[in-house]
Formats: sequence, C-alpha cells, structure tokens
Amino acid sequence: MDVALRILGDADLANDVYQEVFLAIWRRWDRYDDQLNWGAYLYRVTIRKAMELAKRRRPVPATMDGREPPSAGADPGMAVRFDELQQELTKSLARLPKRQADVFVLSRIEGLDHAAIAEILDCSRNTVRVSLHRAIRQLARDLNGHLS
Amino acid sequence: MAEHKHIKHQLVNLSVGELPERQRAEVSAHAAECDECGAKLRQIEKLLGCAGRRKALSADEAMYASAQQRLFAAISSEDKSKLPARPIIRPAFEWRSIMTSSAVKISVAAVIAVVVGLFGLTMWDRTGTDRDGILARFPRLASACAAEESLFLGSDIVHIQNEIIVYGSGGDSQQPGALPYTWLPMCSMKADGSLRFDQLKLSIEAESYVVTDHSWYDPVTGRFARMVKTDGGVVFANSYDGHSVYATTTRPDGTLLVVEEVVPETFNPPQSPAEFLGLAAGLKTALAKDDTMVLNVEEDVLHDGATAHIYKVGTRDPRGNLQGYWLFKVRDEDSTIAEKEFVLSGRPCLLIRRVLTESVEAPGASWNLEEVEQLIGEAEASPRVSVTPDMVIPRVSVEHMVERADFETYIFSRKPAWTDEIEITDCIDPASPGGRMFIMTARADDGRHLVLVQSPTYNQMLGNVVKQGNVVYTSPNGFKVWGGGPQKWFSNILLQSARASIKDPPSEDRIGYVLESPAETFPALAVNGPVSDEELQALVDTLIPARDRAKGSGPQVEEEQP
Repeated sequence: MDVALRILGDADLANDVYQEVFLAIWRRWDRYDDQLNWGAYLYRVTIRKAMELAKRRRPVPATMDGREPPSAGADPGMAVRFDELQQELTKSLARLPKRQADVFVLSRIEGLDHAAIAEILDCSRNTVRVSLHRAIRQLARDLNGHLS
Repeated sequence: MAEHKHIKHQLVNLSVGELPERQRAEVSAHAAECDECGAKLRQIEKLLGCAGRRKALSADEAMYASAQQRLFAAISSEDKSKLPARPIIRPAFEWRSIMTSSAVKISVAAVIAVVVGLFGLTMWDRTGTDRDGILARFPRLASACAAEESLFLGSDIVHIQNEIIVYGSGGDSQQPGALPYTWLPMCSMKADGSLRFDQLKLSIEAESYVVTDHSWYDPVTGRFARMVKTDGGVVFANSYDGHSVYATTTRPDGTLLVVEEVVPETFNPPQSPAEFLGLAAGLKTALAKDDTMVLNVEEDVLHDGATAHIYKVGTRDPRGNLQGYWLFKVRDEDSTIAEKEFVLSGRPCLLIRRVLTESVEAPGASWNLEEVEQLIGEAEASPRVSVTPDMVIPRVSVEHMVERADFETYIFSRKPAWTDEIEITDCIDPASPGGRMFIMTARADDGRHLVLVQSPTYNQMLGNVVKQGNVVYTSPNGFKVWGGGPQKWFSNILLQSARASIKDPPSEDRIGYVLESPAETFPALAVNGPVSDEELQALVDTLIPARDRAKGSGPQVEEEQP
C-alpha cells in the first residue's frame, strides 16, 4: 500500500492497486512456487500495477487526498507547482521502460540501495546503476518545463 | 568543450552520489561555472528532491483497514461467485424413499447422536487423551488441527469468519418422511467454562443459502464474542467479557434473548478456543481416541483450484454403509483446513469454510453482546435458521430425565457387577422434533460396555424392527427381550452413539436387544461383548420406571453381587 501510495500519490488509487495485487495473488494462489521471494515479488507486482493504473487513469496529486504536501511551504504558487510536478512525474514514470521505472521507484522513492534493488529485480548491480542513470536523464528531459 | 561534454554526462552520477570525491569536486566546480550544466544539475536535483519527498507518504491504519475490508469483501464476493456448483444430488427417489423407511429414520436419529459423539461429546473428557495420537498416521491432519489452534495464539485480537453453505434441494418437493432440514452441532461456552451443545437447524430450501459465523478472540484476556447471522439477523451468539458469559437463548415465540451468567470462581475454560470456535473443533481429540474414524484419504482439487487432501471421517455400519460423515479438506500448500462438508445418507447437506482470518484492533461485537441485543430486538426470527437448545447434555440425573422425557423411561435399579457407574446423556431426538433421547452408558473393565437408549423415535419405530427377531426372554417385571434380526447393525449404532462415555469402538462380538416395556416403549440395549443368559436376565430384571426413582419410591441403587 505504501509503495503504491508513494508512486501514485493518491489514497484511492493506492487502494485500487492494493486490491488488484492481492486479488491477483488470491486468484493464482495455487500456482505459486514455495520458494518465491514474496517481498521482492510484491514490490515488482505493486510497481507494475501502479504503473498500469497511472497510465489508465489521471493521477491526483498527493494534496488532493487531504494530505499535507511535504515541504510545500507557505507559497500557494509553489504548492501548485509542486502538485503539478508530482503529477507529471507520475505520468513520466509510467512512460519509462519497465526496468528503468522499477529502478527509479525502488531507488529514489523507496530509498533502497543498488544491491537490494538488484535482488528484487533479479539483475546485476550494474544494470541497476545504468537503468537508474537512464531513468533520471529521461525524466529530467520529460519534465524539463516543470523543473526549470 | 570536451570537458563540458564529459561532465554533462556525470551530472546524474553526481546527483545520486556515485562519483568519487575528486571527480565530484571537478564536476561541481564545472557546474558552478557552466550555465547549461548548472541548470541541468539543478533540474536533476529538483527531480530527485521531488521523488524523495514521496518517501514521507505512507498509508495510515485507517487506509489499511479500509483497503483490507474492501479486499476481503472482494474476495468474499468473488468466492461466492465461484461457489462450488451445488452438488449433484442423487436421484430424488433414493434419498426420499430411503428416508421413509423406519429403520433408516431410526438410524438417522442414532447417527446424529454418533456424529455428536464424534465432534462434541469427546471434548468433555479432557484428560487421559493422547492428543498427539493422530500425528503418527495423519500428520497433515494433525498439522491442520495445530494450525487451527495457532489462530488463537499471539497478542492481537483475531477475527475469524466462516461460511455455512446450506445446499439447496434443487426444487424437489419434500416427500413424506423426509427431514426438511439439516443440522449442525453448535458449540458454545457455559459460565463454568464447560461446553454446551445446541443444534443449529438449517431448513433445506430449493436454493442454496449462506449463514455467516463470526468469531473474535482476544488471546491476552481470553475474551471472545461469536455471532452467527443470516438474513441480516443474529441466530446465535455467545461471548465472554472477563466477568460473565453471555449466550442467546430462544424464547417460546422463537425470538432470541441474551442471557448473562457471572462466571464462578471455579471457572475453567477450554485450553484452546479451537475447541469451540475453530473449524476442527473436537476433531483432534476425537481422532486421538480412535483414528479408525478416518475412513480414507484422497487427493482432490478445491473449487479455487488448490490441491488438497480430503479426509472422510465417520463410522460404517456392519453392512459397510456410511449414513453420515464429514469430509475435512486440508490444503496441501499450508496444511490448513479449507472447508468441511457434512454428508448424510449420501446427500451433501452443508459445507463450512473459512473465508477470513485477520487481526483486528477491536471486536466487531462487544464482548458483552450489547449490539447483538439491539439487533435481536430489531430483527424478526429467521424463517430458515433456528437453534434448538441443548442438543446434548452430558451426565444428567434421573430426575432430569424424568422431567424432560415425554414417555415412560426406565433405569437399572442396580448397577451390574461387571460395569462402572451408569451415566445418562440427554440429547435431542432429531427424527422426533421436540423429543429427547436418553443414552444410558456404563463402562466395563472387561470391555463389555453397556448402553441403553430410549427415545420417541425408537418407541415409534422399533416395534417393526423386533418382528424380524424373536422373544428371547420375558422378565417378571413385564419386559420382553427381542433378539435376532439386525442386532449387529443396531448394536453398532447404539455403541457408536455412546462412544463419548464408553470410549472403545464396537467389538465384533457385540450384541443387541430391543426391549418391549410394560408401557409399550422400546428401549434398545447393547453390550459390547458377549453376555450370558443369566447376565442378560439379571439386567432386565432390574429395570424400573425412572419416575419411581425420581420420587424416591423405587428401590435404592445397590451393587449386584458378583
């Protein structure tokens, strides 16, 4: 739930992701391997579901669900721009290649180190490093107008 | 320019802290002087700052609670849509016609007592049981029992929701003699901590319907609350708030009433709430006494596609037929009981399955059933679900039997020298609504346990059965003893009905008789082993009307001299 909330910035959408993830697990419960790393699996599935939802539905910024924007400050104009930036970030994230989006979320939003991300995504640390680099560059390009 | 191009590519690495110190200083210095790189660096840092601020977002408890509630509702709804297709009911003529047979009615009545014995009566004896006895042959089933018990461990309040799915008849009209309902032992806790068994009567309707069974248990304090609901109303409730035990009871008009009883100092609740709240209530204890009741184990697939082992638990009659049995379905993946199904006379009657287990902050009903009282007051009695109190009452007195029986009952004025003390168990007689069945039992050191059963159904039906045998003895006190006929079959049922008291399974050399009393009732007698003519005659000669003992006018109990 926390991961979905941080990706989407909206409680209702995060709730939807939570439902979809666990209903999907419920439906295919009999097909899971005993050796499955559930922590890693849940991270991957949650990010995927959140990205799918971000593509399908217009995300609502965090402030819309009654939460105080982090460090938005007292300037109303800044708060609006902050909301817009958050919204655009979510949209841009959803457009990134899957691996890059996963790495960016796990690294910059979840705060995990490269080793943990590599384990979750079942790839090398170098792949994580390269994917993160590309993701940041791409996002910076996409959000150029909002970051200036 | 070459330096600018190189450093431009290092801006991201600088932002994420991946540059060595020397390079970091070099890139930072360039960015401070180069407008393009400086702007680019600020953009990247702003981007990362924006993403980083999301770390502060986290779902609060209310969000989790809401999400979980919604999820469970979705699963429950989805699960209902995937309800197993109503079982294929055997051709109506088989079920209906068989129920019109007197013998089958008798056996149904007895089988119900047998099933009560399987899952209820055995729980009363909490001592001297090898609780790990089933581990050897059925480790998966033992694990399932342990998993049920573990639900009630820990420090959080646990909420369990089961569904009772009552299968529909498919629209077949009821034939004369057919029972219009199925039933379930409903276990609850009494104020002294002992268990009470009521009968949950579930009418058989054209379509299947669902009864929900919610339980909340606080492992820290031992408090619990249980509510059985259908049609939006409560049909049964039981709770303990640390001071009193609360339970619903049925008024004469069919409506419910919550009754409070303060627990005494001698309050001694069951060791595990799994004995009266779980899906496996009584199972482990019962099988520890006799695991031959597990008739077979098969691998199968549940309605949700999961693989499972199906344990058929019941007792065959001497002809090899199973009148009633339970199917315990244990998931292979985690060895938990997914569901259990009750089958009577070849017809699946009901299915009980777990739909929810969760930790909660507070119970959904007050420990003192305060809300339940309000619900009861607002709702009308359910037309298809009701509770018949006191399905089984163990160890009752002669006075109790006389008071509850609506027919002449008999007792032995002397305890046979070859048995222990005689106990009387009072249970409902399902084939005679409103009637009570009295099972008198006495254990014998040599295994020849004694059972005498008296009930309205037997009184009505056994007259036909005795015609298949012959009178083997007529006593001075006016009893005819009928032997022969299906005595092996019949004695097996009687002895199974009394398993809670006599403990041992029926033996091969068991013997049964039907007694025709002076009051034209038909007590049924079984001995779990051979008896001599003298022993049989001595037994029958000591029978006296129970009301004589209750009034104190009959002979006092004295031990027969060996």
